[in-house]
Amino acid sequence: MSADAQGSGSEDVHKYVLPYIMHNAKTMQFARACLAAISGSAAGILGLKNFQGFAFYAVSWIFMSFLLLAVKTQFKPHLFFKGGVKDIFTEGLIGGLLSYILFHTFLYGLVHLYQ
Amino acid sequence: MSQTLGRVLSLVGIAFLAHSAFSTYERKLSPTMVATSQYAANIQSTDLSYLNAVDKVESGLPIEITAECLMAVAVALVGIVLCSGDLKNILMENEMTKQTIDKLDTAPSFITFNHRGRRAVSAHTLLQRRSHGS
Repeated sequence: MSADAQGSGSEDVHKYVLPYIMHNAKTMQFARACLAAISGSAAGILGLKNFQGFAFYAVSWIFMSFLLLAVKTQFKPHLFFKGGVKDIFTEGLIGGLLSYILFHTFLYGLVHLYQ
Repeated sequence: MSQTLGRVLSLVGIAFLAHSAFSTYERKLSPTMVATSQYAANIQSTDLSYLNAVDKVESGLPIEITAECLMAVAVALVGIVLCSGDLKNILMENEMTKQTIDKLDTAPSFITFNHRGRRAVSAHTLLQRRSHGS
């Protein structure tokens, strides 16, 4: 039994397969890291600024989450994630944003600033 | 199969993204843009890279580059979704249907050492020896 003092922790052990939860989380993390890198680079190339950049991140995030929902889970997210749809759409949103800003800065500087 | 397709798609997407980055970098200000720009007077006298650095040049990207960039992102994202591995069903009841009762309900006290197997083996070797002998 896990040492978590959470009330639902002991129930989860019998309800879900923990190694598979970890595996799914790792897969999703890979997809989101790639999303942050690619859409950040694209935003840098397009030269988006201010709220346009955040809007582009939001649009690409929603696009990616929908793709994951459709292709990876066949619209049955509760079979693969404890939180269901919410896990797909909200997990790692802020961490991805930081990588996105990093890549945006890099490509924007490379393409637009230093000519 | 779909993983290979995903890898190819994401590589193609990244290649097109790099191409659009390069063409953005290489693009020159078209004469009409310079003429209509409100900083037209400055552009003749000042270094273009300086103007770029302080954002005094309107950087209107051509629609081709924008479209290429967005398409490249879409293709690369589809490729990445395809090439990231399959998810596994986390429900315990689904996992339990794949297991056999021998795997699940095993315990040391169920193991029997004193069974007919020993006699069967010895009879088998006896028969074998007899058949080889004749």
